[in-house]
Amino acid sequence: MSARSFRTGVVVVAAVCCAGLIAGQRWGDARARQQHRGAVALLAADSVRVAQARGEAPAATLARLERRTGYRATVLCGPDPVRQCVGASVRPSLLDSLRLDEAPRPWPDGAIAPLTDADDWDVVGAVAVAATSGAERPLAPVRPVTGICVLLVASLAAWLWRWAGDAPERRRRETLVAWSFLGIPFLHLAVFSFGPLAFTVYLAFHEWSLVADARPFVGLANFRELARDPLFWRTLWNTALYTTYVPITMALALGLALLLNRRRGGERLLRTVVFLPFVTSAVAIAIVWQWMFNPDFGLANYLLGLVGVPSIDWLGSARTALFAIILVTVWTQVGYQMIVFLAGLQGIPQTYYDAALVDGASPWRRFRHVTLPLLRPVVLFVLVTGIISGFQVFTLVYMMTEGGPLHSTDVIVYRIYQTAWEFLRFGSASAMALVLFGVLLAVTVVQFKLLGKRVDYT
Amino acid sequence: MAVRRCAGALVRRSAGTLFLLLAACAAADRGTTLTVSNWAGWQEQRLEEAYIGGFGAARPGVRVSLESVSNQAEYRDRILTSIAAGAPPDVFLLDNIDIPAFVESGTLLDLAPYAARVGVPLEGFDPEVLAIFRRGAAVYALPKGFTPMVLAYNKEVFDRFLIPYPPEEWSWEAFRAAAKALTRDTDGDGTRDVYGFWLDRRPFMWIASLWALGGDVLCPEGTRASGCLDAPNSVWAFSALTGLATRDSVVPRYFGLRRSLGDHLRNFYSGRLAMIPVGHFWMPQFRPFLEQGRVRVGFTQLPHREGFPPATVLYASGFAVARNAHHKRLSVELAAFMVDSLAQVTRAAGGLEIPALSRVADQVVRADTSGLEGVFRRAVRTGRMPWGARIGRWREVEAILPDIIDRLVMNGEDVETVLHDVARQLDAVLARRAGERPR
Repeated sequence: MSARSFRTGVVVVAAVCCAGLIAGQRWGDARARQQHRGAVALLAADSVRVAQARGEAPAATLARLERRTGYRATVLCGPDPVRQCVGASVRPSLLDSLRLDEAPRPWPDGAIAPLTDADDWDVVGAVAVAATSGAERPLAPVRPVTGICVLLVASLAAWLWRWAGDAPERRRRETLVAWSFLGIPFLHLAVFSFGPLAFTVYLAFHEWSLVADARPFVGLANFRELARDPLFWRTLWNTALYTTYVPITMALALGLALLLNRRRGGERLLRTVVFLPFVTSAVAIAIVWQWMFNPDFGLANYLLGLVGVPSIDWLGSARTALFAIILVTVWTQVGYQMIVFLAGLQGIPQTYYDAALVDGASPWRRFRHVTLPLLRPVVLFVLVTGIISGFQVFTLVYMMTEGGPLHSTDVIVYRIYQTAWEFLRFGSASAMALVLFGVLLAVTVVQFKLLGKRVDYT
Repeated sequence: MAVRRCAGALVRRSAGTLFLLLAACAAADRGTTLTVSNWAGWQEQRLEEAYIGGFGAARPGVRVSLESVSNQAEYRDRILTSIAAGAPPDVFLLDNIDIPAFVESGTLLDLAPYAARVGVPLEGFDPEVLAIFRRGAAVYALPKGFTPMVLAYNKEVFDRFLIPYPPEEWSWEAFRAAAKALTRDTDGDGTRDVYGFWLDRRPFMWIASLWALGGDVLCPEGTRASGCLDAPNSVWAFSALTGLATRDSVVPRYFGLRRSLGDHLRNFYSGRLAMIPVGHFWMPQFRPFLEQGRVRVGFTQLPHREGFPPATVLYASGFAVARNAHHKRLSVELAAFMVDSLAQVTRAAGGLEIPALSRVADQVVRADTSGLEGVFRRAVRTGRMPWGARIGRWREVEAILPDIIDRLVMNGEDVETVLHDVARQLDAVLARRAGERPR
């Protein structure tokens, strides 16, 4: 493929993408404005008729319309509001049915409610839209978000243009073939991963209640609010405490893996039994353990009672609730980590152990100087994934304690869920999600720095 | 030849498939399906199905599909998402706690202008219940049913200890004395095994008692808590309520979780608990026990403080139509159909709630020979609109309120200090209006 045809292709694809982005935005805006225009036109027409009946001056009527609807009445209606406000989407017969003698009825936001006796149900609904949402939506040629996307596409196209001139033909062909394979997965990632991620970043700087049209930009206010919220810091601390289950589980899992890393009868069955909790539904696990932790008739207290330990209110006490959830998590996760460690152990060549034996190394020294160093990549994997899933704990907390008692089990993802879906504050919840992302990124980088060194005995 | 036969078969099959597809599309295009979403359990859903077919029968080509999500939190997520996506159910059940947020965001269609046209006499509803869904002249949902909170008592426990049944209106001190007398160690092992009352940390369980004791969590206009939550009356009320656990020890182990495990009901049935606050929503669970004679239960009003009138809270739900519903006319007609007297009578058989139509509710009371329904009906006179139906930020307030009970009962902190501290937290939440930049 020649550089020229490659460049032509790049320009065509970039132009189509940019045109699609702008057209999509314009279509969405136009659709919303058409709906609002119809509704506001009705409001305007009715308001003007009422005003005329009262003998109000047209200029005063327009000013009142602007004030009440938040809409640019002058742009919409022009010098003759009645005639020009009646857009194509509103049937003239409907306007004829308006009752001029009816007193305007106040709406919650102060706008007037016409058409109480109108027969067109959809239009009445549209008036409600205008009255309650403010109906202010001026058309912008290109919105900032669309502009940024167009700029990104254009930059990418420019870079490809330049690269096409430098790269040899074979390289260009290979790149094109590679992208033809990568294109669909990349699109999938863009739509289902990068898109939501970008939307989360966008929401973190806005205020949004999901059902409201308005998404006002609030800058860093959501983050400032988090910084001042003691409960947010408490949830971060609780989450960090919760992740202490990871090293505990790793130690247990490694011990189990060493025990079960043999080919004798019963090992497979034991491995299956230990692994089973991991493949069981977390909701089912939470419900069963909730009963086991019941202070009146739970199995945990019954067993403790046999050795004389008094009854403990596992999930009802601020001192024990988080510990109880950690206990359940260890029980659930130990099987999975054991399987990963087993795979790691079976990947260590026997020759190293033989050599150590010849050197007279004790079992402890063989474990310390052969097994552990060669398991380091597995340890790193289990640690990183464990910490990440630890920070994302939700189901057990949601099912077992809902963050209580006294916020002792309030963890960050539960707080995000509550803020978004219960309090309908998606901006604040997105800001929390971004902070969580930052914390996890930092922790993961530190773990790679500390444990990421490669061990090679060859 | 073989190739030609194959090609012929292929053409015939393609034509057949195309015909079937077109026929399916034509069939799918015929008629309208209206979707109703609610959080009904399977028993309630069966009652809904019993009458809903009548709507389609009167309108050829219209079919109604009932969709139930019995977990209320998941139900709410689903409704919000569907509305935001522009594909709301045609009619959906709205809980009183969601009205302010939905109305403020302009999500709901005002049903008042259509009520007369679809044959719904708004004056037929209990006015206190209709008020929950009303904003000015607008009505954002047609009431389905409601319940006040009352007090249930286990008659067998009262009989066992020879304590007279409570009267329908009684004072806090009389209640407290009864609760103390009912709390016993019956087997002499040094541990109490029967308790007088149940204290729950969830606000929906105790807010009515707080009102009856003269306290409140917010000031009347709903914009602040300071000056009301920490006012002397509220301090007294919280002190009295939590004192049942900390001073009088008439409540069993304090339940520190938000999610109930149903312990209070089990203890109540088994005679370990003499009195619990209940709503009509628990009647379907009581009924089998009552019918089988396994437990004898009486209902009475919540006790009130001397010098303050009796009070309770009214929880209600109603059918709403989203402003962006696709079939507005049919949706409004369907919502009206689902609250008319036939629907309410059918639903009353389940006993989950008091029918919102006064006429039907009165019929239910007359038909009830046990007299239990009458107590609920009379309690409505002292009923107040829940805070959740009045202010948009109630869910945030409600998430903070359990801390009061936790701190007083679990930590034993000073009542005034706790209330003052929580009032300041609530003020901060209430000062933050929707869409306003947080400061």
